[in-house]
Amino acid sequence: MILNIFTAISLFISSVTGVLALVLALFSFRIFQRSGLNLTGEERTAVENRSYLLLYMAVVILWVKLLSWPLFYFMLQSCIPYIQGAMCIFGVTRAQPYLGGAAQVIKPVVFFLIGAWLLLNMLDRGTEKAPLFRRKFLFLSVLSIVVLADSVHDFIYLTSMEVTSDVSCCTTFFDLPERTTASISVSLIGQDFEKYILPFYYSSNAVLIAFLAAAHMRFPLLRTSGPSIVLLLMSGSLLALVNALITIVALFEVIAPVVMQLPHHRCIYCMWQYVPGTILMTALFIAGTFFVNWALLLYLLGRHEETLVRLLAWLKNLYFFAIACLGTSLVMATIYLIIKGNLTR
Amino acid sequence: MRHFNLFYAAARNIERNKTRGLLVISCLSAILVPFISALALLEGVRLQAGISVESGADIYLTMDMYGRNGMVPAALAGEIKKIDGVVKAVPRVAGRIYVEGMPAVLLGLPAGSFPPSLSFVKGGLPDEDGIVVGRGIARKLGLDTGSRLSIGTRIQAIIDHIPYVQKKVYTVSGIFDAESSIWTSNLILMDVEEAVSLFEMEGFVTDIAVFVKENEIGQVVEDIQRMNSYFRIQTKAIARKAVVTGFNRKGGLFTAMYVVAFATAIPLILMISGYGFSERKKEIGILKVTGWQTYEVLEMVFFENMILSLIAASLSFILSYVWVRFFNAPFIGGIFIAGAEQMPAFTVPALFSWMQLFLSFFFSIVLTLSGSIYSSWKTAVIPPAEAVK
Amino acid sequence: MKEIVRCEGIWKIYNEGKPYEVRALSDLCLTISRGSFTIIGGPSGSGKTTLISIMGTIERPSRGGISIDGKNIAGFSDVALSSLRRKRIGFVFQDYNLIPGLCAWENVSVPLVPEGIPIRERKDRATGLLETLGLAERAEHSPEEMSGGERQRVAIARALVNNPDIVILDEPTSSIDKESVSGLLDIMKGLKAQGRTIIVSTHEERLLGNADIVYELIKGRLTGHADNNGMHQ
Repeated sequence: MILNIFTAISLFISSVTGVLALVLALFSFRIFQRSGLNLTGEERTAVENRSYLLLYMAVVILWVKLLSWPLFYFMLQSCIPYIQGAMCIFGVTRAQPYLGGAAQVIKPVVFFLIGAWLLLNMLDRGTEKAPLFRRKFLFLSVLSIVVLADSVHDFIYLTSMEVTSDVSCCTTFFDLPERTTASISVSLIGQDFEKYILPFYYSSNAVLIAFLAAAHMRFPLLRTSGPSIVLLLMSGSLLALVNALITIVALFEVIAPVVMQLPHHRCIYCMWQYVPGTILMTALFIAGTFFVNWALLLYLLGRHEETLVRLLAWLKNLYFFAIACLGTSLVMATIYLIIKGNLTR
Repeated sequence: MRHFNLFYAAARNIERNKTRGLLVISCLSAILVPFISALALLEGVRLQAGISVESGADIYLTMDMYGRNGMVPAALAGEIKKIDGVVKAVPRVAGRIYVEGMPAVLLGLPAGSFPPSLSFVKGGLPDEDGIVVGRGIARKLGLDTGSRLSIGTRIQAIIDHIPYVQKKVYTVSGIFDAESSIWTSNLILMDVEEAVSLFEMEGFVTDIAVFVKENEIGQVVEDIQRMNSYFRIQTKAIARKAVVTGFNRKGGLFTAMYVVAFATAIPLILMISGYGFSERKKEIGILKVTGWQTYEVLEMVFFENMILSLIAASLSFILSYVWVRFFNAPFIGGIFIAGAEQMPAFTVPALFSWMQLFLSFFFSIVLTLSGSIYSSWKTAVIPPAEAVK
Repeated sequence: MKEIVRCEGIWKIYNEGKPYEVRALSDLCLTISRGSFTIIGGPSGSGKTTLISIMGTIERPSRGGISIDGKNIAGFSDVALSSLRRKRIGFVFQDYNLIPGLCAWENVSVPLVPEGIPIRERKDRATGLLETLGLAERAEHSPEEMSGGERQRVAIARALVNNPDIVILDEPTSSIDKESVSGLLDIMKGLKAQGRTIIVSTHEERLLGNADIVYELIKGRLTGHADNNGMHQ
């Protein structure tokens, strides 16, 4: 393994979160089982008390994972000198392409799920009889397994990362004509796709934000159950996913080269490294997309006659946060494009 | 506003229960201060090693002697100088010596090739039988210009199992300071001819430092290699990479060992954070009776832990800075800098940056939060009935 | 009068099923009317404190139902019970239970902290209440600097700061002198006049005469009650 300060710390963190996740998985499943029984007042209090321990553990895991997310990228960056051919974080991930790629997928998934669980817990907290109690602990036991998988994966990834002979870095991956983002764009738009990317990017973001704004205004008027609200939330999620794909393509194909002022270099890892403000821009975009999907997941998991009225208010708030995050990200991207290049590229 | 109120309540609790707060902060600081100081020292040494590499030659040439570095003929410097692209080829003698029983590094250079980054605090370049010493070593041995110093090189005889070292006396002609403070701690400079004679290696030097025109290193390396395949060539790029990966590994090894300390700190925090639990029972019970939810108590306790960890992290960073910068890293400097004593005589190199600050906060928060899970929960679930007892 | 608290077949058994099981309350049924002054009497260890704890939502009954304003709270979560307590119930403890290190107004404002009320408003509300209870000049004093009667008034102010409609007092006369008892009686009469429901666990003779209804508990069982129409078994 590559041993430096960051890999040593990351190993420590993955061990701590792994142990916490294991405990969380076991206990949350037990609480799920116990809460289904007919309990006396004292037994119910005991189950509730244990549930607070699990909630606190989940919050601690969330904090530790949140703090260690930038650490993960610092760790990758610290490995650049060890790996022949690596010039940025992307090059390091190429040393173990499957494990490196999986790490970058599983981490956002963990955040999405922890966020959804916390929202579900908050929704349940506002009720009188905690109707979501069993549901949220079943969800927590599943979520803990994902957290555990993330920790175990980190451990394996860190210990198996070796100084390999040679890797191809971002230039030989993102700057080739047959790169993934270009291939997708060519197949969908055609050879001269580049000039359509920015209009697509702005249109898709505008459509999504407009949809969310309209839904945000409609929420108090909607029926609290039935197909119309599910349809609305699913449409929002679908739009957010399509927008995410278009934004990713735009980030690689247009935004990164313009922001870095390197017209032929399409690596967002380099963009984050050279222009750190773009990390916030990307994070806001991710948060905005998460908010839209949290609304759907929260509705599907938190639907109950005791929660429905509050649920609508929450969905309204979640869509508001989504609009705020996506809007800010879009404004930031526009400012970068104006300052660092021009919009008509 | 609710969260702010709970945060304020947490701050007031810390103020009211000072002993617990002081215990947690002291425990965290005791763990974090040496860690941050050590990282700052490692970064400082790495920076200075980097300066040494950058201010040094582009190529160092030695002979391959059974896989080790071997001496090279001094006259080779003239041949190397003739290669296209070579600006300067400097024959050097470098070796470990003992001065007053202390290890030091002796570097012999031609009179005109002394590093330009050296600045003389006193005196000047060495004359015959003269040496120039660093400010650190001069302070350590109480040397001044004109002081005489005997330098031992090799064992001359063994009588009754006791080795007798051959010594030669030199006069200090100058005291220097350098950009890299480590250099001043144990470096002694003299003329290359004098060093050749001291080490008894007539006609040879330990290596040749080759300075090359920009962008011509590759070609020069090829030309030198073509002259003799037994030459060992170390370029600046190799040295640079060795410095980065070497120090990264050193830092990693140290952190890996320190992680054990962090792991043992978690149960320690667990014990300390529960301090005063019995006194708190009634208080939390009262809060619960007055309508505080367990979530709110938990949030308040979480804030208490966060505040304590933030105070501990800031304090640890400040204490490390004071320890290293103002007191010159006593006790710890010697562990990380070869040749430094418990109270280093030279200014120890250290670099404090956002990284140590981030790690300080990171570890402080991770340790406090994970260590106090049980005690925080235990506090938060105190039943309201506790207040009626 | 309309009922505000109803207990139906309440059992409270500590360490149930264990050799050291304690039955604090057995099959207890009672109702308390809105705006009434109710006393729960009985000798020490009869279960008075357990009963008022259950009525004050501090403890859950082992079995049986309890409703407040007709709503059964037996199935309420811990969070919902806390919210109910915060909004509707004020509690005054036997030994006042003020938090040391906090001054009088800070103690009074403790229930307002999680409500999200800013500190300035909290202070205004707390000092206003202390003023009505004759403790204006003691607002900045800590509990250690006050007499028993003053501490009790601070505890009453804390119980009232959220403007609850039910005020529960546990053995309020056990730690105060005779003059303070009459002062306390005046306060309770004032609270009743405001339309609040007062529930007191006590065996103090002077209070019994002022109650609308007195429930008598012996060994966790209700042995009888007396109201303005006389004693009933």
